[in-house]
Amino acid sequence: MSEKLLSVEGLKVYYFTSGGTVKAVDKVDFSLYRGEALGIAGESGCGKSTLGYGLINLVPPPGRIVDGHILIDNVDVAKLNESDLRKKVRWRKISMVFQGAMNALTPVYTIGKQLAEPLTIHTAISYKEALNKVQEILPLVGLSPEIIRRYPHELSGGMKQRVMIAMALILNPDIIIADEPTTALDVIVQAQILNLLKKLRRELGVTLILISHDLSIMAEVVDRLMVMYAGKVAELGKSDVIFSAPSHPYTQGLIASIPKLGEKKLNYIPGLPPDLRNPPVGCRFADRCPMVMDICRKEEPPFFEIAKEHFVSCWLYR
Amino acid sequence: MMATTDIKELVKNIDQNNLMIVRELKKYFPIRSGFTDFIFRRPSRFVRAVDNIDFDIPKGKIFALVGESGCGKTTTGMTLIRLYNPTGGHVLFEPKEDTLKDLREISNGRIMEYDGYIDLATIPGKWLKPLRRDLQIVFQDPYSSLNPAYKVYDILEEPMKVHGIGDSKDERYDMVLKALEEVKLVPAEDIANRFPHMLSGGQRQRVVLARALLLNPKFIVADEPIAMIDVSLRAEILITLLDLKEKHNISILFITHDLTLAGNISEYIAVMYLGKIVEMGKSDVVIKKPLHPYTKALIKAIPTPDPSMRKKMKDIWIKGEVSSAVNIPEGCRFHPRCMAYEEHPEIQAKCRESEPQLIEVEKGHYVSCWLYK
Repeated sequence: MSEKLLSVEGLKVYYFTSGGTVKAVDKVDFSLYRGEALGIAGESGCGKSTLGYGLINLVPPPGRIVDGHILIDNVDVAKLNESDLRKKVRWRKISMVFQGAMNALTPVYTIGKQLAEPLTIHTAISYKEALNKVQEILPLVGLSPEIIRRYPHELSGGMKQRVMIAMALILNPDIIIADEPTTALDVIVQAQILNLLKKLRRELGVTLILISHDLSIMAEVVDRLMVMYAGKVAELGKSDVIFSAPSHPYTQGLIASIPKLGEKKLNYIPGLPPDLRNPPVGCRFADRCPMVMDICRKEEPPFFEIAKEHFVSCWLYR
Repeated sequence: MMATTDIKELVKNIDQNNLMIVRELKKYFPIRSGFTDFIFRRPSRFVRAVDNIDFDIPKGKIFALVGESGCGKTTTGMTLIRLYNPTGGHVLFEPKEDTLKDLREISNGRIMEYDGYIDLATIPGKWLKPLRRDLQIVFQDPYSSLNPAYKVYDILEEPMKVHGIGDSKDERYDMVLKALEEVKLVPAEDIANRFPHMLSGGQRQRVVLARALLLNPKFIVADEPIAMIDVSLRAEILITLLDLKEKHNISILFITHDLTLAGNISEYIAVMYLGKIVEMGKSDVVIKKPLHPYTKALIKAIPTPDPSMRKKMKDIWIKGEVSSAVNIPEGCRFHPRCMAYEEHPEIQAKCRESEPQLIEVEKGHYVSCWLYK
């Protein structure tokens, strides 16, 4: 594979709530290579969004990064102070399209102003120059440049999501994180946004991290897939391999539960994920696993590399 | 606005296999006009949310209404059960024996009956109360459809009190517990004493389901019942819904934007676009052999769980964006977005000028498109 852009080592992100410490991301390791698309999949509450926030060191309180390293260009993002993060990392190196962010556009500013503002703050250019730059970027995301004079309420959901993607692109970052970019969009608009992500990868060489619960969307876009369960990585590998032959029982369950067009079957994984304030000893999936063994309840499984670049955290592959 | 179909014609041959027979149903919402509109006597304008639709819902079956946001699917559901008053049309419905008896009583025998069916669209609002037992709804958002100040028990008891079901508090308590067990909320006694905020989204939606079932309905509108539920819990809730439908022989109008889901659980599918049904038929047929260009576009847009296709752009067989329901395009309302329109110059004039009717192209498969005439 090509150049390593990002490497995450032993990352822990916890939320310190009054009810106890929620271990939302618990010792996660992975790398991201230039030009690839990595998917982070899992059920609600598995820590996939928290991991996304963690990567730009923007975990909402009461959460914070407790331990681990996030290395971008040999700089540890996890250790940087807020001002350096703003000046050097966020949106310059790595930007994020937040979940539901299209509803966070302020209704009182034009689209042009909202897109130009970060440029004037982060670079030394004037507002007028910034607006010109915005007009250059808008066609890349499939919007007409005249849209800078419009207000958010004049745009459809799909157009607003395109504005958010333009905003993520505006400082020309290496990496873009897209957190559930198509949730709440209609199926046709969803297909259009996915096509846009594909186009940006092809034409601009954008490196993408896609966070979603929907494995069908993942299959449409990503080269490698990371499946998370209860704050841990369950399986990580090439998406071709994972979709055709999933190895972790959890991934197998997830893939079997993808609803298929024209079938009358409804599959699901019975049970609920564990309480992350008090995760079980051993494998966190043990209670729902159809292939559970004695060791699973005693010891946490390490990562087994079952094939090149294919990691599974399950005692079956010991 | 009067329906053109005469009710007398309509009730001549009622197919007793259908629980609901919907004809020329319309729901228009007026747009508030301003002062200048009044001065210049501009005509009042309407959002034509449901614009003249016909369909039948068979007894004990699931009928899915599929479409994008704003196509009028939710308005249709709400209008059928008279949460909205229809602007026009007829909805024939066969109430339960008891309900019909109560209806006769409340209306002093003035209720119009047609072989045990009544016209839901035209009966006066003050006679609706007994019908509420037969017609229930499960809303999309379980977080806003349960009163946060009530315990689950109170939430479930309330409709029974309103409709005079159960003679004593104890009897009603037993019924509540039974209903909770039926929707697989156990231990029922524990759940009954909780407040909604102590339940997960999936559990709340089960409470909503229990509330709908307690009145022993004949017909349920399920409006995107799993859209706000965690993915991992969706299938479980759907299976519960399917089991209950079988057990109590309920007909369901299942409203969803997800064609895959509609195909998974329903027997019939109707696809709506901008207030009109564009295609309707057995769900397998509509999904495996779609005829209308809009249905085809929807099916093509569904993501496929096959990573080998990821390098290619997805073929999007539609152009532009949905038109406004205030200024519905002339002719076929889909033609400005239609790709088949581009490919078939010979029909373009027709598409622009006159509206296609929903016609039966093959047995039980209806399409409204000039390509099939």
